[in-house]
Amino acid sequence: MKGFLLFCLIFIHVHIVGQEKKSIQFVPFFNNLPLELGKKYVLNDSTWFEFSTCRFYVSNLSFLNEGKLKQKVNEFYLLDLDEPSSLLIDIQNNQFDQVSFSIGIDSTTNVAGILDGALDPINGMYWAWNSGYINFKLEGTSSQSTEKNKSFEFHLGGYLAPYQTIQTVHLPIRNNSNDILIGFEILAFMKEIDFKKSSNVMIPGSNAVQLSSILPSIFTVLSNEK
Amino acid sequence: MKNKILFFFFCVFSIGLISFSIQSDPELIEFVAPKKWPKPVYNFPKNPLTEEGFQLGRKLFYDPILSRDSTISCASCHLQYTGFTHVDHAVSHGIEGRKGTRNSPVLINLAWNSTFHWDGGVNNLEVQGINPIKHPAEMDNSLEEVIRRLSISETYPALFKKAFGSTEINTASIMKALTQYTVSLVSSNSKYDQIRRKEKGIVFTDQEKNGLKLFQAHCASCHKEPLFTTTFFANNGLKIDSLLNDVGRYSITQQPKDSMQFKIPTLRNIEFTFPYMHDGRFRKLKDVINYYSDGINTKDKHLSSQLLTPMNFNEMQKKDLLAFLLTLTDKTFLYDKRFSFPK
Repeated sequence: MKGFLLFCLIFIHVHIVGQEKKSIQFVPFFNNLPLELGKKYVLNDSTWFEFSTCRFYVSNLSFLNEGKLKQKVNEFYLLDLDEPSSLLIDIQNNQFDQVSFSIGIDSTTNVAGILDGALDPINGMYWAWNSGYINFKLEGTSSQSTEKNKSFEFHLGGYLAPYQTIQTVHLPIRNNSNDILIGFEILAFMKEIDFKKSSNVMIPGSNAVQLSSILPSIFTVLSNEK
Repeated sequence: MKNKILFFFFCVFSIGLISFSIQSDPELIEFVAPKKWPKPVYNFPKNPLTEEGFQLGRKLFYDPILSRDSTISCASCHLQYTGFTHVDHAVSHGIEGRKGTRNSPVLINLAWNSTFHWDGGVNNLEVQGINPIKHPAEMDNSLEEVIRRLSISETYPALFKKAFGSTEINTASIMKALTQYTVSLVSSNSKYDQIRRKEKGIVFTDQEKNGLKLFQAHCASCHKEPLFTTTFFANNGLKIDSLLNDVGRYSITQQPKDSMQFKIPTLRNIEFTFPYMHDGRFRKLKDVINYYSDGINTKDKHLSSQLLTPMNFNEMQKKDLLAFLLTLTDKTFLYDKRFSFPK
Protein backbone atom coordinates (compact mmCIF):
# COMPACT_ATOMS: atom_id res chain seq x y z
CA MET A 1 0.00 0.00 0.00
CA LYS A 2 2.79 2.39 0.97
CA GLY A 3 4.50 1.65 -2.32
CA PHE A 4 1.37 2.46 -4.26
CA LEU A 5 0.92 5.74 -2.39
CA LEU A 6 4.54 6.55 -3.10
CA PHE A 7 4.09 6.10 -6.82
CA CYS A 8 0.90 8.22 -6.70
CA LEU A 9 2.90 10.88 -4.90
CA ILE A 10 5.61 10.86 -7.55
CA PHE A 11 3.00 11.00 -10.31
CA ILE A 12 1.20 13.98 -8.75
CA HIS A 13 4.45 15.72 -7.93
CA VAL A 14 5.79 15.38 -11.46
CA HIS A 15 2.66 16.97 -12.84
CA ILE A 16 2.26 19.80 -10.35
CA VAL A 17 5.81 21.03 -10.23
CA GLY A 18 6.22 21.52 -13.97
CA GLN A 19 9.32 23.19 -15.34
CA GLU A 20 10.34 25.70 -12.65
CA LYS A 21 11.53 23.23 -10.09
CA LYS A 22 12.59 19.65 -10.35
CA SER A 23 13.19 16.87 -7.95
CA ILE A 24 15.11 13.71 -7.42
CA GLN A 25 12.99 10.85 -6.24
CA PHE A 26 14.68 7.86 -4.65
CA VAL A 27 12.72 4.66 -5.23
CA PRO A 28 13.47 1.53 -3.17
CA PHE A 29 13.24 -1.93 -4.73
CA PHE A 30 13.62 -5.48 -3.63
CA ASN A 31 13.94 -8.05 -6.38
CA ASN A 32 12.46 -5.55 -8.86
CA LEU A 33 9.38 -4.99 -6.69
CA PRO A 34 8.74 -1.76 -4.78
CA LEU A 35 10.30 -2.27 -1.35
CA GLU A 36 7.98 -1.82 1.60
CA LEU A 37 8.93 -2.12 5.24
CA GLY A 38 7.21 -4.89 7.17
CA LYS A 39 6.46 -6.95 4.05
CA LYS A 40 7.84 -10.46 3.57
CA TYR A 41 9.67 -11.05 0.30
CA VAL A 42 10.02 -14.71 -0.62
CA LEU A 43 12.73 -15.46 -3.16
CA ASN A 44 12.37 -19.22 -3.22
CA ASP A 45 11.30 -22.11 -0.97
CA SER A 46 14.04 -21.48 1.55
CA THR A 47 14.93 -17.81 1.21
CA TRP A 48 12.97 -14.85 2.48
CA PHE A 49 13.60 -11.30 3.68
CA GLU A 50 11.65 -8.77 5.67
CA PHE A 51 12.84 -5.23 6.41
CA SER A 52 12.00 -3.08 9.40
CA THR A 53 14.41 -0.17 8.93
CA CYS A 54 16.12 1.32 5.91
CA ARG A 55 17.66 4.75 6.32
CA PHE A 56 20.75 6.42 4.92
CA TYR A 57 22.42 9.77 4.40
CA VAL A 58 22.81 11.43 1.02
CA SER A 59 25.28 14.33 0.87
CA ASN A 60 27.53 16.20 -1.58
CA LEU A 61 24.73 16.19 -4.15
CA SER A 62 26.33 17.50 -7.34
CA PHE A 63 25.25 18.14 -10.91
CA LEU A 64 27.69 17.97 -13.79
CA ASN A 65 27.43 18.85 -17.45
CA GLU A 66 30.01 17.61 -19.97
CA GLY A 67 32.34 16.79 -17.11
CA LYS A 68 32.08 20.22 -15.49
CA LEU A 69 30.56 20.80 -12.08
CA LYS A 70 27.44 22.95 -12.48
CA GLN A 71 26.14 22.92 -8.93
CA LYS A 72 26.91 21.36 -5.57
CA VAL A 73 24.27 21.32 -2.84
CA ASN A 74 25.69 21.77 0.68
CA GLU A 75 22.96 19.84 2.39
CA PHE A 76 22.67 16.57 4.28
CA TYR A 77 19.60 14.47 3.53
CA LEU A 78 18.44 11.65 5.78
CA LEU A 79 16.43 9.27 3.63
CA ASP A 80 14.08 7.05 5.59
CA LEU A 81 11.76 4.47 4.07
CA ASP A 82 9.40 5.03 6.96
CA GLU A 83 8.93 8.62 5.78
CA PRO A 84 8.26 8.61 2.03
CA SER A 85 8.58 12.41 1.81
CA SER A 86 12.24 12.10 2.85
CA LEU A 87 12.95 10.24 -0.41
CA LEU A 88 12.11 13.31 -2.46
CA ILE A 89 14.74 16.03 -2.90
CA ASP A 90 13.91 19.31 -4.66
CA ILE A 91 16.60 20.52 -7.02
CA GLN A 92 17.24 23.48 -9.33
CA ASN A 93 16.30 23.21 -12.94
CA ASN A 94 19.80 23.20 -14.41
CA GLN A 95 21.16 21.60 -17.56
CA PHE A 96 23.18 18.55 -16.55
CA ASP A 97 24.09 15.12 -17.84
CA GLN A 98 25.42 13.57 -14.65
CA VAL A 99 24.43 13.53 -11.02
CA SER A 100 26.73 12.43 -8.23
CA PHE A 101 26.24 12.12 -4.49
CA SER A 102 27.77 10.53 -1.41
CA ILE A 103 26.19 7.84 0.68
CA GLY A 104 27.14 8.94 4.15
CA ILE A 105 28.85 11.76 6.00
CA ASP A 106 32.32 13.17 5.33
CA SER A 107 35.07 13.09 7.98
CA THR A 108 35.05 16.86 8.62
CA THR A 109 31.38 16.76 9.53
CA ASN A 110 31.99 13.67 11.67
CA VAL A 111 34.32 15.61 13.96
CA ALA A 112 32.41 18.90 13.92
CA GLY A 113 30.70 18.43 17.28
CA ILE A 114 26.99 18.72 17.85
CA LEU A 115 24.86 19.43 14.76
CA ASP A 116 21.13 19.71 14.19
CA GLY A 117 18.50 18.94 11.58
CA ALA A 118 19.24 15.76 9.65
CA LEU A 119 22.49 15.46 11.63
CA ASP A 120 20.89 15.64 15.11
CA PRO A 121 22.09 12.55 17.04
CA ILE A 122 18.48 12.07 18.11
CA ASN A 123 17.75 10.68 14.64
CA GLY A 124 19.31 7.36 15.63
CA MET A 125 22.05 7.59 13.02
CA TYR A 126 24.84 8.50 15.44
CA TRP A 127 27.25 6.48 17.57
CA ALA A 128 27.95 8.28 20.82
CA TRP A 129 30.61 5.89 22.21
CA ASN A 130 32.62 6.04 18.99
CA SER A 131 31.60 9.49 17.77
CA GLY A 132 30.41 9.42 14.23
CA TYR A 133 27.48 8.97 11.93
CA ILE A 134 25.96 5.74 10.73
CA ASN A 135 25.92 6.28 6.97
CA PHE A 136 23.55 3.47 6.13
CA LYS A 137 21.24 1.45 8.35
CA LEU A 138 19.34 -1.65 7.28
CA GLU A 139 17.52 -3.93 9.71
CA GLY A 140 15.09 -6.79 9.46
CA THR A 141 14.77 -10.55 9.52
CA SER A 142 15.75 -13.19 7.02
CA SER A 143 16.03 -16.93 6.53
CA GLN A 144 19.73 -16.24 5.84
CA SER A 145 20.48 -14.85 9.29
CA THR A 146 22.54 -17.00 11.64
CA GLU A 147 20.90 -15.34 14.66
CA LYS A 148 18.36 -17.33 16.67
CA ASN A 149 15.58 -14.85 15.98
CA LYS A 150 16.63 -14.58 12.33
CA SER A 151 17.40 -10.89 12.70
CA PHE A 152 20.04 -8.92 10.86
CA GLU A 153 21.35 -5.43 11.54
CA PHE A 154 23.72 -3.53 9.33
CA HIS A 155 24.84 -0.18 10.74
CA LEU A 156 27.51 0.96 8.33
CA GLY A 157 29.72 3.88 9.21
CA GLY A 158 33.20 4.96 10.25
CA TYR A 159 35.38 7.80 9.03
CA LEU A 160 38.82 7.03 10.54
CA ALA A 161 41.56 5.67 8.26
CA PRO A 162 41.86 2.95 7.11
CA TYR A 163 38.18 2.18 7.68
CA GLN A 164 36.45 5.04 5.88
CA THR A 165 33.00 4.04 4.67
CA ILE A 166 31.58 7.05 2.82
CA GLN A 167 30.77 6.11 -0.80
CA THR A 168 30.29 8.14 -3.95
CA VAL A 169 27.72 7.38 -6.61
CA HIS A 170 27.95 8.74 -10.18
CA LEU A 171 24.94 8.38 -12.43
CA PRO A 172 24.58 9.52 -16.04
CA ILE A 173 21.35 11.38 -16.80
CA ARG A 174 20.14 10.97 -20.36
CA ASN A 175 17.15 13.25 -20.22
CA ASN A 176 17.04 15.92 -17.57
CA SER A 177 13.91 17.69 -18.74
CA ASN A 178 11.92 15.62 -16.24
CA ASP A 179 12.24 14.76 -12.62
CA ILE A 180 15.00 12.27 -11.90
CA LEU A 181 14.06 8.86 -10.57
CA ILE A 182 16.87 6.99 -8.87
CA GLY A 183 16.17 3.42 -7.93
CA PHE A 184 18.07 1.41 -5.36
CA GLU A 185 17.87 -2.36 -5.32
CA ILE A 186 18.32 -3.74 -1.81
CA LEU A 187 18.53 -7.34 -3.08
CA ALA A 188 21.75 -6.38 -4.88
CA PHE A 189 23.18 -5.42 -1.49
CA MET A 190 21.85 -8.45 0.40
CA LYS A 191 23.17 -10.84 -2.26
CA GLU A 192 26.75 -9.78 -1.53
CA ILE A 193 26.54 -10.48 2.18
CA ASP A 194 28.09 -13.57 3.68
CA PHE A 195 25.60 -14.14 6.49
CA LYS A 196 27.74 -16.90 7.98
CA LYS A 197 30.42 -14.29 8.56
CA SER A 198 28.20 -11.46 9.68
CA SER A 199 24.50 -11.11 10.31
CA ASN A 200 25.31 -7.99 12.26
CA VAL A 201 27.71 -5.17 11.58
CA MET A 202 27.40 -2.46 14.22
CA ILE A 203 30.86 -0.92 14.49
CA PRO A 204 33.36 0.73 12.17
CA GLY A 205 35.99 -1.65 10.80
CA SER A 206 36.81 -3.90 7.86
CA ASN A 207 33.34 -5.49 7.69
CA ALA A 208 31.70 -2.08 7.50
CA VAL A 209 34.11 -1.04 4.75
CA GLN A 210 33.45 -4.17 2.72
CA LEU A 211 29.65 -3.88 2.95
CA SER A 212 29.72 -0.13 2.26
CA SER A 213 31.68 -0.70 -0.93
CA ILE A 214 28.68 -2.59 -2.34
CA LEU A 215 26.37 0.39 -1.98
CA PRO A 216 27.22 2.48 -5.09
CA SER A 217 26.29 -0.43 -7.37
CA ILE A 218 22.72 -0.66 -6.06
CA PHE A 219 21.74 2.78 -7.43
CA THR A 220 20.49 3.18 -11.01
CA VAL A 221 18.65 5.89 -12.90
CA LEU A 222 15.19 4.67 -13.86
CA SER A 223 14.03 5.59 -17.33
CA ASN A 224 12.88 9.19 -17.23
CA GLU A 225 11.96 9.53 -20.90
CA LYS A 226 8.63 11.20 -21.49
CA MET B 1 -9.83 48.41 3.76
CA LYS B 2 -6.34 48.45 2.34
CA ASN B 3 -5.28 51.03 4.91
CA LYS B 4 -6.66 48.94 7.72
CA ILE B 5 -4.64 45.97 6.58
CA LEU B 6 -1.54 48.12 6.28
CA PHE B 7 -2.11 49.51 9.77
CA PHE B 8 -2.53 45.99 11.13
CA PHE B 9 0.80 44.91 9.65
CA PHE B 10 2.42 48.09 10.94
CA CYS B 11 1.24 47.24 14.48
CA VAL B 12 2.44 43.65 14.25
CA PHE B 13 5.79 44.86 12.95
CA SER B 14 6.16 47.46 15.73
CA ILE B 15 5.29 45.00 18.48
CA GLY B 16 7.80 42.58 17.01
CA LEU B 17 10.44 45.28 16.91
CA ILE B 18 9.79 46.30 20.53
CA SER B 19 9.88 42.76 21.87
CA PHE B 20 13.03 42.13 19.86
CA SER B 21 14.78 45.07 21.48
CA ILE B 22 13.63 44.00 24.98
CA GLN B 23 15.17 40.55 24.50
CA SER B 24 18.75 41.31 25.49
CA ASP B 25 21.68 39.53 23.93
CA PRO B 26 23.55 37.06 26.13
CA GLU B 27 26.71 38.39 27.70
CA LEU B 28 29.80 37.16 25.88
CA ILE B 29 32.68 35.74 27.89
CA GLU B 30 36.18 35.62 26.48
CA PHE B 31 38.01 32.34 27.03
CA VAL B 32 41.49 33.35 28.13
CA ALA B 33 44.16 30.66 27.86
CA PRO B 34 46.88 30.89 30.51
CA LYS B 35 50.05 32.59 29.29
CA LYS B 36 52.59 30.41 27.45
CA TRP B 37 50.10 27.56 27.20
CA PRO B 38 49.32 26.00 23.82
CA LYS B 39 46.26 27.24 21.94
CA PRO B 40 43.00 25.54 22.98
CA VAL B 41 41.67 23.14 20.35
CA TYR B 42 37.99 23.64 21.11
CA ASN B 43 36.17 25.51 18.34
CA PHE B 44 34.85 28.47 20.37
CA PRO B 45 33.40 30.43 17.41
CA LYS B 46 30.92 27.60 16.80
CA ASN B 47 29.61 27.89 20.35
CA PRO B 48 30.54 31.32 21.73
CA LEU B 49 30.82 31.35 25.53
CA THR B 50 28.22 33.47 27.24
CA GLU B 51 27.40 33.97 30.91
CA GLU B 52 23.87 32.66 30.28
CA GLY B 53 25.11 29.61 28.36
CA PHE B 54 27.70 28.81 31.02
CA GLN B 55 25.17 29.12 33.87
CA LEU B 56 22.66 26.95 32.01
CA GLY B 57 25.34 24.33 31.43
CA ARG B 58 26.30 24.48 35.09
CA LYS B 59 22.67 23.97 36.15
CA LEU B 60 22.33 20.99 33.79
CA PHE B 61 25.60 19.52 35.04
CA TYR B 62 24.28 19.42 38.61
CA ASP B 63 20.70 18.41 37.74
CA PRO B 64 19.63 14.73 38.16
CA ILE B 65 16.79 15.42 35.70
CA LEU B 66 19.14 14.06 33.04
CA SER B 67 19.09 10.50 34.43
CA ARG B 68 16.21 8.12 33.78
CA ASP B 69 15.10 7.87 37.41
CA SER B 70 16.27 11.38 38.29
CA THR B 71 18.77 10.09 40.85
CA ILE B 72 22.17 11.03 39.46
CA SER B 73 23.66 14.07 37.78
CA CYS B 74 26.95 14.59 35.95
CA ALA B 75 28.35 15.78 39.27
CA SER B 76 27.61 12.41 40.90
CA CYS B 77 30.69 10.96 39.19
CA HIS B 78 32.53 14.24 38.58
CA LEU B 79 32.94 16.03 41.93
CA GLN B 80 34.60 19.40 41.88
CA TYR B 81 36.60 18.97 45.11
CA THR B 82 38.38 15.96 43.62
CA GLY B 83 39.18 17.41 40.21
CA PHE B 84 35.78 16.42 38.82
CA THR B 85 36.28 12.68 39.18
CA HIS B 86 34.56 10.07 41.34
CA VAL B 87 36.89 9.92 44.31
CA ASP B 88 37.40 6.58 46.05
CA HIS B 89 35.62 4.66 43.25
CA ALA B 90 37.71 2.37 41.06
CA VAL B 91 34.80 2.38 38.62
CA SER B 92 31.69 4.51 39.00
CA HIS B 93 28.10 3.47 39.39
CA GLY B 94 25.13 4.89 37.55
CA ILE B 95 21.43 4.63 38.34
CA GLU B 96 20.27 1.70 40.47
CA GLY B 97 23.87 1.08 41.51
CA ARG B 98 24.82 -0.25 38.07
CA LYS B 99 28.60 -0.43 37.79
CA GLY B 100 30.62 0.80 34.85
CA THR B 101 33.92 -0.60 33.65
CA ARG B 102 36.23 2.41 33.81
CA ASN B 103 37.48 4.99 36.26
CA SER B 104 35.62 8.27 35.92
CA PRO B 105 38.02 10.69 34.17
CA VAL B 106 38.82 14.13 35.55
CA LEU B 107 37.29 17.17 33.83
CA ILE B 108 40.28 19.48 33.74
CA ASN B 109 41.47 21.69 30.89
CA LEU B 110 39.16 19.98 28.40
CA ALA B 111 39.51 22.90 25.97
CA TRP B 112 42.92 21.46 25.01
CA ASN B 113 41.59 17.99 24.22
CA SER B 114 40.27 16.72 20.92
CA THR B 115 39.47 13.20 22.15
CA PHE B 116 37.58 12.10 25.23
CA HIS B 117 37.11 8.86 27.21
CA TRP B 118 39.94 6.49 28.09
CA ASP B 119 39.74 5.04 24.59
CA GLY B 120 39.40 8.41 22.84
CA GLY B 121 36.15 7.26 21.23
CA VAL B 122 34.55 10.67 21.54
CA ASN B 123 35.94 13.17 19.04
CA ASN B 124 34.48 16.46 20.22
CA LEU B 125 33.61 17.85 23.65
CA GLU B 126 30.14 18.84 22.40
CA VAL B 127 29.09 15.24 21.78
CA GLN B 128 30.65 13.79 24.94
CA GLY B 129 27.56 14.38 27.08
CA ILE B 130 25.40 12.09 24.96
CA ASN B 131 27.32 9.09 26.35
CA PRO B 132 26.56 9.33 30.08
CA ILE B 133 22.94 10.27 29.32
CA LYS B 134 22.36 7.18 27.18
CA HIS B 135 24.70 4.62 28.73
CA PRO B 136 22.71 1.88 30.55
CA ALA B 137 25.27 1.78 33.38
CA GLU B 138 25.21 5.55 33.79
CA MET B 139 22.03 7.65 33.35
CA ASP B 140 20.22 5.14 31.10
CA ASN B 141 18.06 7.84 29.54
CA SER B 142 17.24 8.95 25.99
CA LEU B 143 17.79 12.33 24.35
CA GLU B 144 14.07 12.46 23.52
CA GLU B 145 13.15 12.08 27.20
CA VAL B 146 15.69 14.67 28.35
CA ILE B 147 14.34 17.18 25.81
CA ARG B 148 10.77 16.39 26.88
CA ARG B 149 11.50 16.91 30.57
CA LEU B 150 13.43 20.12 30.06
CA SER B 151 10.77 21.49 27.71
CA ILE B 152 7.94 21.05 30.23
CA SER B 153 9.96 22.24 33.22
CA GLU B 154 9.11 25.61 34.79
CA THR B 155 12.61 27.01 34.64
CA TYR B 156 14.50 25.60 31.68
CA PRO B 157 12.69 27.03 28.61
CA ALA B 158 13.31 30.60 29.83
CA LEU B 159 16.97 29.80 30.54
CA PHE B 160 17.45 28.33 27.06
CA LYS B 161 15.84 31.44 25.60
CA LYS B 162 18.28 33.64 27.51
CA ALA B 163 21.27 31.58 26.40
CA PHE B 164 20.36 30.67 22.83
CA GLY B 165 17.46 32.95 21.91
CA SER B 166 14.75 30.31 21.77
CA THR B 167 12.61 28.43 24.26
CA GLU B 168 12.76 25.45 21.93
CA ILE B 169 15.14 22.92 23.46
CA ASN B 170 16.99 20.45 21.26
CA THR B 171 20.02 18.16 21.40
CA ALA B 172 22.32 20.87 20.09
CA SER B 173 21.31 23.53 22.63
CA ILE B 174 21.60 21.09 25.55
CA MET B 175 25.03 19.88 24.46
CA LYS B 176 26.28 23.38 23.71
CA ALA B 177 25.25 24.58 27.17
CA LEU B 178 26.92 21.62 28.90
CA THR B 179 30.04 22.26 26.83
CA GLN B 180 30.14 25.92 27.81
CA TYR B 181 30.40 24.78 31.41
CA THR B 182 32.83 21.88 31.00
CA VAL B 183 35.14 23.74 28.60
CA SER B 184 35.48 26.47 31.24
CA LEU B 185 36.95 24.09 33.84
CA VAL B 186 40.50 25.38 33.62
CA SER B 187 43.02 24.55 36.32
CA SER B 188 46.11 26.77 36.12
CA ASN B 189 46.81 28.04 39.60
CA SER B 190 48.75 25.26 41.31
CA LYS B 191 52.01 25.93 43.13
CA TYR B 192 53.74 24.68 39.98
CA ASP B 193 51.92 27.34 37.92
CA GLN B 194 52.67 30.09 40.40
CA ILE B 195 56.36 29.25 40.25
CA ARG B 196 56.28 29.11 36.47
CA ARG B 197 54.74 32.59 36.50
CA LYS B 198 57.50 33.69 38.90
CA GLU B 199 55.04 34.84 41.53
CA LYS B 200 56.67 36.53 44.45
CA GLY B 201 57.79 34.42 47.38
CA ILE B 202 56.77 31.07 45.92
CA VAL B 203 59.56 28.55 45.38
CA PHE B 204 59.94 24.79 45.11
CA THR B 205 61.41 23.02 48.14
CA ASP B 206 64.58 21.05 47.44
CA GLN B 207 62.56 17.87 47.50
CA GLU B 208 60.06 19.23 44.96
CA LYS B 209 62.90 20.51 42.79
CA ASN B 210 64.51 17.04 42.74
CA GLY B 211 61.10 15.58 41.96
CA LEU B 212 60.64 17.96 39.04
CA LYS B 213 63.99 16.86 37.59
CA LEU B 214 63.01 13.20 37.88
CA PHE B 215 59.63 13.99 36.41
CA GLN B 216 61.11 15.78 33.42
CA ALA B 217 63.56 12.95 32.81
CA HIS B 218 61.14 10.04 33.14
CA CYS B 219 57.50 11.14 32.89
CA ALA B 220 57.18 14.39 30.95
CA SER B 221 57.34 12.96 27.44
CA CYS B 222 53.81 11.58 27.94
CA HIS B 223 52.66 13.83 30.78
CA LYS B 224 53.86 16.89 28.97
CA GLU B 225 53.94 20.31 30.65
CA PRO B 226 51.99 22.50 31.06
CA LEU B 227 48.91 20.31 30.51
CA PHE B 228 50.68 17.28 32.01
CA THR B 229 49.46 15.17 29.10
CA THR B 230 50.17 15.05 25.39
CA THR B 231 46.44 14.18 25.12
CA PHE B 232 47.53 11.13 23.08
CA PHE B 233 47.38 7.41 23.86
CA ALA B 234 49.91 4.98 25.28
CA ASN B 235 50.30 1.42 26.47
CA ASN B 236 51.79 1.64 29.95
CA GLY B 237 52.08 -2.12 30.29
CA LEU B 238 49.23 -2.74 32.72
CA LYS B 239 48.02 -6.32 32.43
CA ILE B 240 44.49 -6.67 31.14
CA ASP B 241 41.87 -7.23 33.84
CA SER B 242 40.36 -10.56 32.82
CA LEU B 243 36.94 -9.58 34.17
CA LEU B 244 36.73 -6.19 32.48
CA ASN B 245 38.55 -7.32 29.33
CA ASP B 246 39.15 -3.72 28.31
CA VAL B 247 41.42 -3.44 25.27
CA GLY B 248 41.32 0.38 25.24
CA ARG B 249 41.75 2.29 22.02
CA TYR B 250 41.62 -0.88 19.91
CA SER B 251 37.87 -1.05 20.48
CA ILE B 252 37.56 2.28 18.66
CA THR B 253 40.11 1.95 15.85
CA GLN B 254 40.15 -1.86 15.33
CA GLN B 255 43.89 -1.47 14.75
CA PRO B 256 46.12 -4.06 16.52
CA LYS B 257 48.75 -1.40 17.28
CA ASP B 258 46.20 0.37 19.50
CA SER B 259 45.50 -2.63 21.69
CA MET B 260 45.78 -1.76 25.40
CA GLN B 261 46.45 1.88 24.62
CA PHE B 262 44.62 4.30 26.88
CA LYS B 263 44.45 8.04 26.92
CA ILE B 264 47.28 9.69 28.84
CA PRO B 265 45.53 11.53 31.68
CA THR B 266 46.55 14.93 32.99
CA LEU B 267 48.31 14.81 36.35
CA ARG B 268 46.90 18.12 37.51
CA ASN B 269 45.25 17.78 40.94
CA ILE B 270 46.39 14.17 41.08
CA GLU B 271 46.61 14.40 44.86
CA PHE B 272 42.81 14.19 44.99
CA THR B 273 41.84 12.11 41.97
CA PHE B 274 42.44 8.62 43.38
CA PRO B 275 42.09 5.79 42.60
CA TYR B 276 44.33 5.78 39.55
CA MET B 277 44.59 4.22 36.05
CA HIS B 278 41.77 3.50 33.56
CA ASP B 279 40.24 0.87 35.85
CA GLY B 280 41.20 2.56 39.11
CA ARG B 281 43.36 -0.38 40.15
CA PHE B 282 45.83 1.70 42.21
CA ARG B 283 44.43 3.31 45.33
CA LYS B 284 47.45 5.38 46.28
CA LEU B 285 49.76 7.67 44.39
CA LYS B 286 52.71 5.78 45.83
CA ASP B 287 51.35 2.57 44.24
CA VAL B 288 51.45 4.35 40.87
CA ILE B 289 55.03 5.50 41.41
CA ASN B 290 56.05 1.99 42.51
CA TYR B 291 54.45 0.53 39.40
CA TYR B 292 56.28 2.84 37.01
CA SER B 293 59.51 2.45 38.95
CA ASP B 294 59.67 -1.32 39.32
CA GLY B 295 56.42 -2.94 38.20
CA ILE B 296 56.45 -2.69 34.42
CA ASN B 297 57.09 -5.80 32.39
CA THR B 298 59.61 -4.24 30.00
CA LYS B 299 59.54 -7.35 27.80
CA ASP B 300 55.93 -6.53 26.82
CA LYS B 301 56.12 -6.17 23.02
CA HIS B 302 53.44 -3.49 22.88
CA LEU B 303 54.80 -1.37 25.70
CA SER B 304 55.25 2.35 24.97
CA SER B 305 58.85 2.91 23.89
CA GLN B 306 59.32 5.55 26.61
CA LEU B 307 58.88 2.86 29.27
CA LEU B 308 61.36 0.29 27.94
CA THR B 309 64.12 1.33 30.33
CA PRO B 310 63.16 0.56 33.93
CA MET B 311 63.20 3.65 36.13
CA ASN B 312 64.14 1.83 39.35
CA PHE B 313 63.85 4.86 41.62
CA ASN B 314 65.29 4.60 45.13
CA GLU B 315 63.09 5.43 48.13
CA MET B 316 64.34 9.00 48.29
CA GLN B 317 63.61 9.58 44.61
CA LYS B 318 60.11 8.19 45.01
CA LYS B 319 59.47 10.67 47.81
CA ASP B 320 60.87 13.52 45.72
CA LEU B 321 58.67 12.64 42.78
CA LEU B 322 55.62 12.43 45.01
CA ALA B 323 56.44 15.84 46.50
CA PHE B 324 56.59 17.35 43.03
CA LEU B 325 53.27 15.79 41.99
CA LEU B 326 51.61 17.42 44.97
CA THR B 327 52.61 20.84 43.62
CA LEU B 328 50.07 20.24 40.84
CA THR B 329 47.20 20.68 43.29
CA ASP B 330 45.16 23.77 42.46
CA LYS B 331 42.84 24.66 45.33
CA THR B 332 41.63 27.79 43.55
CA PHE B 333 40.17 25.45 40.93
CA LEU B 334 38.91 22.78 43.32
CA TYR B 335 37.06 25.34 45.44
CA ASP B 336 36.11 27.84 42.73
CA LYS B 337 32.52 28.87 43.57
CA ARG B 338 31.86 29.60 39.93
CA PHE B 339 32.05 25.88 39.19
CA SER B 340 30.19 24.65 42.25
CA PHE B 341 26.56 23.57 42.73
CA PRO B 342 24.41 26.54 41.62
CA LYS B 343 22.41 27.88 44.53
